[in-house]
Amino acid sequence: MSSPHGSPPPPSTPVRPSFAASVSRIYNLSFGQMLWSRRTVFMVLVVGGPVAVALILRMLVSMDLLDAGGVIDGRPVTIDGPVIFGLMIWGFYLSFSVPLLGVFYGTSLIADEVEDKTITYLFTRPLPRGAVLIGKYLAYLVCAGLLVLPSVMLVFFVVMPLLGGSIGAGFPDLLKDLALLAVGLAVYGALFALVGALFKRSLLTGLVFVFGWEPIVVVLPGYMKRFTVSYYLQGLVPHAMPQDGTVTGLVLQVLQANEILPSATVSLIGLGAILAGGLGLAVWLVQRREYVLEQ
Amino acid sequence: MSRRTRYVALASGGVLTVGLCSGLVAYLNRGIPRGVAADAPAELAFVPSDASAVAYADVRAVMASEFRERIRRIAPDGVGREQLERRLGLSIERDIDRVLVFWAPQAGEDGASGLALLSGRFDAARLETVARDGGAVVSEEGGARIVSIEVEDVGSLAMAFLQPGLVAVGDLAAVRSAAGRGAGEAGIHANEPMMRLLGRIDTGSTAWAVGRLTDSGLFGLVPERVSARLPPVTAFAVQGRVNGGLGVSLVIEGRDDQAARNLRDVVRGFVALAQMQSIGIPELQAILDSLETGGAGTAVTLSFHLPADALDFLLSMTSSADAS
Repeated sequence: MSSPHGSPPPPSTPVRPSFAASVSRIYNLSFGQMLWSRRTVFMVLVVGGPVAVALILRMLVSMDLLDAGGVIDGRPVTIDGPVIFGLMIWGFYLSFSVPLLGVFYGTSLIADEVEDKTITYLFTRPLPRGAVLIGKYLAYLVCAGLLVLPSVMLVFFVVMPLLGGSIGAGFPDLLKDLALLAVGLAVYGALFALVGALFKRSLLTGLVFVFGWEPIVVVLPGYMKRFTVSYYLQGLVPHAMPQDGTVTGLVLQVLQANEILPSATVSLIGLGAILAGGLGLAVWLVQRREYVLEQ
Repeated sequence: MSRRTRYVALASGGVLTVGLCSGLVAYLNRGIPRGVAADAPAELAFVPSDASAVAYADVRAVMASEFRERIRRIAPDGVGREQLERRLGLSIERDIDRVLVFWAPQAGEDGASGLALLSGRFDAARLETVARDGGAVVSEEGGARIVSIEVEDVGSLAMAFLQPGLVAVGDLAAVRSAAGRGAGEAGIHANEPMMRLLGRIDTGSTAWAVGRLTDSGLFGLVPERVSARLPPVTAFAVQGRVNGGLGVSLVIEGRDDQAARNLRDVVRGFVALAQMQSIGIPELQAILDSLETGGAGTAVTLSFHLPADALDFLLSMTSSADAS
């Protein structure tokens, strides 16, 4: 019991947690919020689409309504499970779901807190501002991974055995595809975290980038395509997709020789630079920017 | 983290984990024999491990098929069948169930020699008597009676009754080798590349053949200078299923991915050429429409199905060509 005449005890100095501990706290806080947000419901529908398509394909094959043989440009081609799976990975996931997840979640990492006027609560805590962004980014990665990767897994098991395909033979391709999708989520997330920290209307900016800038620039001749994520992802896709040497091997050689597609090494360096640069710049911006909340 | 968040994370992670584990198991077990390799005919036990080609036909199924009936309508059986039945008491339709033929190198000899293993019902005493009358001699090897005869320009031909209902016919050395084959001796099952090829044959195929084209040429039968000019093919597996029509599936393995790519292009080129030639001939177009080419890695696949009508057309073409 303290004496009434004694000096009051000194105010306790708040213990500043380490950067890693701060990241962990923000991650724990954000993960649940992110998982149960309305945009997650929308993204579940987006990643559920390919599973539904896979089930329909399976049904068509079992009813003998879909044949392995076909003709493209007068040339007979054989379409089997691995080919369908490769096309679905590129068409549904890498070109659509992954960029969309990156835009929706990446731009919202900071923008949502600003919009909800809750960023003050985060920034007044004794946590490094960079840790706030990194923690939210990690929560995004895990949340997006938990949405996309099981969907890919289901599609793999439904589609791969179709029309003579083999799950065992296609397993290495699945691992490559999962790794590629994880890389895609990480890179798009980092890029749009920067966009979210930089622009006021970040969602719109992100959507314009993903569905306007990237599809147009990638097909244009010149060096501008190097300022897209999909250019570097495309460079890894043929290495990950099931190999039908006739098409992929020859096309890959021609495309790489003409720099229409980067090599795997260039792709990895490019994606690494975007990831590190995007996240680093976003952290730098968040640490220095003064967020003025609208009344 | 709330409980429901934890449940969602666990469910999602569970799907991933189960999927990865199942995929890994499937990947590790992909080498387990399938098809004929897993459900092989009993005669395969007599095929040595160094065999370079094996062919098989379910004679009974072929003879009982509508396919055979169609051939018989166009090309009635000749006198050979009657002679065989009169002299040896052997009817191919009635007495032979299966035939398995293989080629394998013989010790101390260049090239390979073939051996046919016939399963069915044989009058061993009558066959032996006929052979003796023709100048054959009888010996014993590994408990089996071997009837052999010297034939000018061909060498020693032999026949052995390996088991009740199983006769081996072929070169004397090959017959002796099959007769002396011990139960514990390594057979074709120890030959991993051949078993892999046999794994490509579906169980229930009426006839099939697999072979490896070794460095010494096509089973040692084709001179090296000839085989060197052939596309770089290392192995093949062909199978057919006979019913009203005829379904055939062929897998060719190239020396490497590049060779397989070239082969695929060659095959597709031939298919395209044939399709050009078939314009205006609907029966032929039906066959070519059923042609499917494909393959991945070192494999080139080609399959087609001859419907009964197309078969009639082809057989009638053959018979009219013979008549002219």
